[in-house]
Amino acid sequence: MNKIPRPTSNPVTGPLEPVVPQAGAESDDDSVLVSRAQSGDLRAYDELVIRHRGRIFAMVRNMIHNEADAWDLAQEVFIKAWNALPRFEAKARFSTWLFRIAHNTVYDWTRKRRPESAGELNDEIFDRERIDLSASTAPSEAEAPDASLQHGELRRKIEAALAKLSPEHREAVILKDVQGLSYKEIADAMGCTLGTVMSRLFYARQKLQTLLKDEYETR
Amino acid sequence: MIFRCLAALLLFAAPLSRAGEDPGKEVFGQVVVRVFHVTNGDPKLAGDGAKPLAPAAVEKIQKEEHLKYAHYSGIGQDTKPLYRSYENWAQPLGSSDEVLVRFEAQNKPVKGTARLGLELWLSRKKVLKTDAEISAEHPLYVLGPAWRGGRLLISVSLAPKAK
Amino acid sequence: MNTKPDDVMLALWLDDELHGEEFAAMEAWAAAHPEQLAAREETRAYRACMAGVMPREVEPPYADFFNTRIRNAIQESRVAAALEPAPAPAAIIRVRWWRSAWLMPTAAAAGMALAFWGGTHVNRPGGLISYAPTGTPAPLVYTPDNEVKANYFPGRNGSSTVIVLDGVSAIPDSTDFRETAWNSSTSEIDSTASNEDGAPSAN
Repeated sequence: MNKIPRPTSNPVTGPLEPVVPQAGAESDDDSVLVSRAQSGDLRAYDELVIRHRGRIFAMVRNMIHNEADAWDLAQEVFIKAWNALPRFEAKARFSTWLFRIAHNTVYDWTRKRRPESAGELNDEIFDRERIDLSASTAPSEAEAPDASLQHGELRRKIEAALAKLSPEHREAVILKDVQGLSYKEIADAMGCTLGTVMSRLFYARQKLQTLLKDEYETR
Repeated sequence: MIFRCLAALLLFAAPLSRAGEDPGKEVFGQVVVRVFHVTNGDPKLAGDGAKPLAPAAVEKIQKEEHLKYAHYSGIGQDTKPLYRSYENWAQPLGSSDEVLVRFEAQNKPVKGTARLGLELWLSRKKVLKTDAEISAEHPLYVLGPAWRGGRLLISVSLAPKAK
Repeated sequence: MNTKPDDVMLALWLDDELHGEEFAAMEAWAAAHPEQLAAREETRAYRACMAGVMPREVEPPYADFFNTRIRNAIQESRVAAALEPAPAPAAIIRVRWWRSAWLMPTAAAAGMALAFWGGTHVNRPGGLISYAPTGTPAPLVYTPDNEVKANYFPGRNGSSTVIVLDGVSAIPDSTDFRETAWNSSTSEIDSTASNEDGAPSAN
């Protein structure tokens, strides 16, 4: 069997080989904690939060592109997960299950933002992009020490390109190409069929690759 | 029997028809956000746009132990619908986004009192998040930043039902 | 594999999700289709770019506080659940006095202590969180900015709830709200409400 090596955890340098999630390893580590949490052990759950908050926060932030709200929403994911723990089945992967909850939470939040015909709102003023994300209430993550200016600029281009996709297409890309989930896991998280995931991803990547073609061919 | 069913259907459909197809757009009431300039110094510093409050209004605010000042002026107000399932934003200082209030209903108002999830944004940064019970008679008051020799006082209340 | 694989197999292969025999079969087929091998390389390059630039994990700001808020929300819900009156089938009526308030079950007592920190502010890195002493459910007041403190004074005996913010940056005096409008998105406002506060009627 041809095994693809697991990439390093350093998000800055990134893997040169394809990213393949190591199925099983994570769920073994989590299963003990999940079991204890299901018995009401809040400390075990706290540990699970520590383990998974980075990925959930990254996913939510990439989805809604708003640091302050992502911080709140990511917490909501874990609170909902706690409440739903009795229904979690050990055979499933905990992280995938969390992504499913994150998907639902982001979807609900997006629906609630404002109704289409909510009166005379000044859309320009309320454009969340204009909210000062560099402010202390929406702190940016620490830049990795060796991140170059060019690196940051590329990330902004990618984020801008992602923002042009529909939420479903954006989520497919985030879960596959940022979070490294398998197609099956994405289908579970998004509550759709494998075929739907594939077609969404195909379309989204086509669009992204067009937008970013110049960027990655010259790196 | 048929009439009872019809009546039940009409009653059930009424809120839906008011809110269009989305029950989340049902309007629970109106949220009024006001901004006052409060000071123990010269109230004229607040500028021409500031309007001195009526004595009754001053008396009402001064009932609050932590809001006792010599002068109160109104400098802005915004009223926005409180939706069942959607958030909304109030922008009480006209075209300025110095003070923004984001709110959403956490329950349906009961006896004129509603619980809201609220965020206060100042200078485009979120400075406060809270949930609060408000009514027409009892607003939430937030004593905010200093400005022109005094401070901005933000009040969030429900508008009383139209008579 | 001599025949073209179906789209699902192809997509899985392009994304390096095949293993074992299926992978070997696809590799054999792709050897005769260099354009597919090129497509896979292109996909790998694209994914490497994405993975290199977009972090898979981002620690949320104020990570400790992040966890604290989750714990507190969970504990609050536990308290709320503990305080809910239980249904009283006849079989347990005679033991209902165990649930009476003056006995204060441990969880409820802990929760009420949490809710009645009255004016106490927990200063944690990354923000202050205050528990307002108004009973169940306890309102939550927090300020994301560590420099800002929210002093919460609950409404009692006919008074309103007041939050006094300390440490919030002043608005420059040069800021002019001269163009302030009195906004209303509806004509349903009772103008007497505005008059009561002295602010001009919205209409």
